[in-house]
Amino acid sequence: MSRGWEAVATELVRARYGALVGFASTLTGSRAAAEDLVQEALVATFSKNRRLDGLAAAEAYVRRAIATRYVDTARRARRDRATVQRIAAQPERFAEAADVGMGSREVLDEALAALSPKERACVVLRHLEQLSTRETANALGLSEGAVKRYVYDGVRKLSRALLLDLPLEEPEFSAVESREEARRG
Amino acid sequence: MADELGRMLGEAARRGELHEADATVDAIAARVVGASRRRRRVRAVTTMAASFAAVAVLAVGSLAVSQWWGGDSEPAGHALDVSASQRPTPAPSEAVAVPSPSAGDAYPQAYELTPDVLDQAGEGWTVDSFSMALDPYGDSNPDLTPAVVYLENPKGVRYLAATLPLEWSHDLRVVAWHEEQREVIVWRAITPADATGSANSAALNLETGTLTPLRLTMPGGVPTDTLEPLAVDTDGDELWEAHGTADDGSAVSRFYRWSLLEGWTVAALSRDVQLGPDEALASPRLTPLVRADGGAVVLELTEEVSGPDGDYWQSAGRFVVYDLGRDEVTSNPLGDGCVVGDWIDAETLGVQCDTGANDVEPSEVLLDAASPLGAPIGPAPTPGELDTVGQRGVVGWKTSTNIAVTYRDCAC
Repeated sequence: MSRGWEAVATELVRARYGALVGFASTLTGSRAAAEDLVQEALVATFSKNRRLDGLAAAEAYVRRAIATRYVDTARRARRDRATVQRIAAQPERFAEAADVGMGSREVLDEALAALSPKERACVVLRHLEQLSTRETANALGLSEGAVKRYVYDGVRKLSRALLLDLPLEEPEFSAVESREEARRG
Repeated sequence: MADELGRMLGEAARRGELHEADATVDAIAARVVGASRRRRRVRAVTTMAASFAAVAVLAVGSLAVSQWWGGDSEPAGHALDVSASQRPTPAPSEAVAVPSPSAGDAYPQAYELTPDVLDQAGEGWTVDSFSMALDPYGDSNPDLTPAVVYLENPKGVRYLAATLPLEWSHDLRVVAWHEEQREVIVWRAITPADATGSANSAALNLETGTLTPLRLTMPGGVPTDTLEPLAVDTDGDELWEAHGTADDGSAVSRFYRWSLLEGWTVAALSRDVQLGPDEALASPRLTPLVRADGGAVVLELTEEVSGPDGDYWQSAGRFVVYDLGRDEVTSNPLGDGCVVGDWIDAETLGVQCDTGANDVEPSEVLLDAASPLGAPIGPAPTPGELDTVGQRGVVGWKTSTNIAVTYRDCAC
């Protein structure tokens, strides 16, 4: 990345900071934690030379860094989970949305809070960010099988909590060479 | 994949959006840029120091060598500016200078690896790998240059062991050296998009240059999709974490150990740890708790519990310490609200405990003294210290593997 990284970083924050906090809040359930997460991910992204072709690419990179950092941080800092659970019991933490009733907003937020950090991150990256299983696995440092499991378990829990019949992904199968074939190869 | 859940999550994200005044956002932007600049300066100083160290080592052999990126593209030739007594083995007149790999002038110069050179490998020698350092969030099919593996003698003279196929050049590192078998184990940290179902670890035969993918068969006949290195100790014992997908789509994982005497066996982590029906061993991969000498690994136990607000994972109140050399695992209690931090010494772990006042209190845990964990350790290497130029892996003769080699840049 050339000297222009500073311009990209500044433009990204000015144009998309609010949206990035919104994305991070689907993971943390807390706006304060979301803001910390976003700023840490921004610094981690722009403190290295990276090939980021434009604002959209930079934002996509930061979003994945937010998810990865969320999983890593949530695992080591128990207080984040406790904070999420406390916040989930307080419905007036976000601004009102005109097209979503109070009841459904509470239920969704609380349903998300009940997922494990990895389930939440995998569900958000697959369904909100529209990443493939492989892209999600690479972003979070998980195997594809683990991503499929977390998404499956997470969506199943959300379905129960939201009383919805959310579609579950069909498991994918890929041809795998046998150990003997590998040895001969 | 537009779907109902995606729509709901999108609405949740929009509800959580922040709408700050321009002055506030400008201040945030300035803070981000300033912090990023400071971190870049620190990283630049570290890189320069590492480069000077590498050049100093190579100067011992007085061999003109290209720098890792750029520099001279032509081999230095056979003439060495050293006395006969300092001549590296084999003598230059017996060695054949090989042209740089097709990557051009981005790789160090090297000699041909002949059988008699391999016979001389011993203490002080290393196996080095050079590969592109790929962006885990970037293009899954980037333009690659081949990864290369060298044998390097104590005087810094390199011998080309193999130029790897492109599909094995995604962020590749050498992670273990099976000296008696004359093979090294390589691992690609990123699976290329067109390698569906392919292994991510392989054995490279130093004599023939052939690459054999590593696959294991787990319970239920489930083949491994991925095999990830976790630790390699001074004796060459290795701990790996395997993942696969069963026929019903569920994920299967297992810990395996490789040793010279026994080859591949199920590690005590998967054999002897009694897990409750809702318990799991938390993978140490993202935040490795491997002791610096590779001899021990810490894993926390987590359990899924049902609460009034649904199911969630929490600490199971204990962690296990795995002794790689003895293939034994011991269980230790973990206080309520505590998480394991880092190794302080061979028998002491640092932990952090939530005091309940939105704060954490550091403390130390002395491990079971009845199960000594081996030699004292040195300072733990920091992740990324090998990531100064491209991606480089280094494994020494009869030495433990630097745990930083298994680190993946996750932008964290």
